[in-house]
Amino acid sequence: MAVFRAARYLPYDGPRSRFPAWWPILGSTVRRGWKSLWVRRITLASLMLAFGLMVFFYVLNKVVPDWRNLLRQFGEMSTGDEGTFRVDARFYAALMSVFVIPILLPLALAFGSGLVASDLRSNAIEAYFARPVTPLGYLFGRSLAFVGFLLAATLVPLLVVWGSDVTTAPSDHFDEVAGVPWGLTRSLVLIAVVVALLVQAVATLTRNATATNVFLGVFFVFFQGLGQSLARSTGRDAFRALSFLDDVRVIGAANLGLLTPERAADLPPLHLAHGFVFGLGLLSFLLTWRALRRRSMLA
Amino acid sequence: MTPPVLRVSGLVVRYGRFTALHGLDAEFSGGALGLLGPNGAGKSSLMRAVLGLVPPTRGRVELLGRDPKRHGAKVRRSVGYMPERDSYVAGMSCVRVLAHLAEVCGIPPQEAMMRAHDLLHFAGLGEERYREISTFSLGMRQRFKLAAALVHDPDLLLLDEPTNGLDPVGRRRMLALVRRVHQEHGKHVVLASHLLPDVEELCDQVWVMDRGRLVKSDSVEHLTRAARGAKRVRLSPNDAPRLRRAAEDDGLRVEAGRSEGELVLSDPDDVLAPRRVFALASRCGCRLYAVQPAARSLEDAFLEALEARTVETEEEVA
Repeated sequence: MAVFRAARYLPYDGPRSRFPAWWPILGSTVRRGWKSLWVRRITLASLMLAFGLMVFFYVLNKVVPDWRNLLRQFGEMSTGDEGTFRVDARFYAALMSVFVIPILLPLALAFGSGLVASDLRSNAIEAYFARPVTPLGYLFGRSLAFVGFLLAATLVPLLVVWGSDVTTAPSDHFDEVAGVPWGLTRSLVLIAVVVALLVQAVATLTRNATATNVFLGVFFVFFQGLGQSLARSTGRDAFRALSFLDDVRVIGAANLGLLTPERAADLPPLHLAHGFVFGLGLLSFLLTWRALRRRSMLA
Repeated sequence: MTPPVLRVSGLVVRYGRFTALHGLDAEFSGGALGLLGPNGAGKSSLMRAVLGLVPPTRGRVELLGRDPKRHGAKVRRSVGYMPERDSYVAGMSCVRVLAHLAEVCGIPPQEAMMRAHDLLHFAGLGEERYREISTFSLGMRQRFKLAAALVHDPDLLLLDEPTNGLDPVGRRRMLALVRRVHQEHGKHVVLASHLLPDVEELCDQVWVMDRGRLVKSDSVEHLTRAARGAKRVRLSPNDAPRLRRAAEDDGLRVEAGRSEGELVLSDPDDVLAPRRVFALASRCGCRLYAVQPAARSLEDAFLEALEARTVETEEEVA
């Protein structure tokens, strides 16, 4: 039976939660994200893609048990390279690019651009900071939920695909792809954290979701073009590090153990790619943190 | 010994080159305190410094026996702050926002949701609790802010202009809610306002602030008691200095009136009886033209304090 509670002020003398103050912020961010139609669409599309690949592996394994060998022979015949159509680390590197460009980046824009911007507009920041929440705790709670969403839409499906691949393949296939989950995790966690910080930093400056999306779209396209054209005109691959998407490719390849000299030919040097990505993340963090601190002081 | 609810000593707050608070020294032992002052007096800056949202440039703040700079989280858990501007988390229903703010202060989720419902009923927003706050009217937003300040059951409420923009009915309702929380549940209240009737109605102590300085700190009762018993005396301008001296020797407070031959006499501790004024006049040989009650309110005391401060500043400048 429901307990009747009178509409009056009641003092609270119950226990206090032991969770830190950022924990409810994380929960509310997840709920807020899931309310967005585009976030749901992109996340479900990503999960459907993984589910489709899982079904594909399973059905193919039932219908043509030797399909992996047949595919490898076909690749060898058509391109002369026996690794062309193999389900190995290279397949996962390509799949990671598919999950980063059309899924992770649009999801980051759909999810994150309105997050901090709307908090700044509605002055929620003041409501938080007048309670036991610090600017760092606020940023941590928001970013953790944001990164969690990005990973749920990219890393989780990729791991599902890897799992179905391993369970349907002959036992010796596992040795070929054993390092893939760790490589994917390292790459995608780094990319998700940097993208989450970058989106929030731009949102604190523009305070508008549409402006943030336009800015970031221009940012990615501009630096992609700039890096590639400078690399082509000067013949120095170091300029490719300006392109975030090239950095993602080289970091992914390195983490999956694929960075051979011939593969690295049209990619930026790994240390520069790491430097650019880490620098971008750090700069974004500092910008957001400073904006939040200033906001807490001067609002 | 119980520590005071709020103690500030030598508090200086600067925003860049602008000094918002100039070495404030004051103590509030508990009850309901009114922060009075014109716009820009430093009331909001004091509240923000007390909460630890603005780091003091110099000086110390002690809130509920703790330093907010060192124990910010603990202090803020015991304080409910109602800011002047709208402040809410967008994209959620009113009850969800309130429950979320309670959770942030450490109340478990289920309890937080129950309290959110209770508080919205208490604030008169029960029927509106599933609406988004962005669709609320001004009065509803003010009531929501009060509910948000109370949802985690704080010991001290900091209310920054709670009746701003409310119609008379809304204002009365808001003041009644605050009074209930203060009187029935023993919450300490600090109310910043430039609306003197609000402070007079709710508070038992007053800090009058002007341009970042504490101009006067007294109890409302004391301020208005002296003011209520004051007498306005009219006499010849030549006699006025003599009566002033005699009154001051007798322990009365003397202020200049509106014209040259007018004085306002008051007893700081009691109502000043007309008989005492006549006795004084006869003792110093002054002829009185009129003796009237100088019916004054907190507003007079407030203006008087500000005028005195203005004179002091002018003298300093000179």
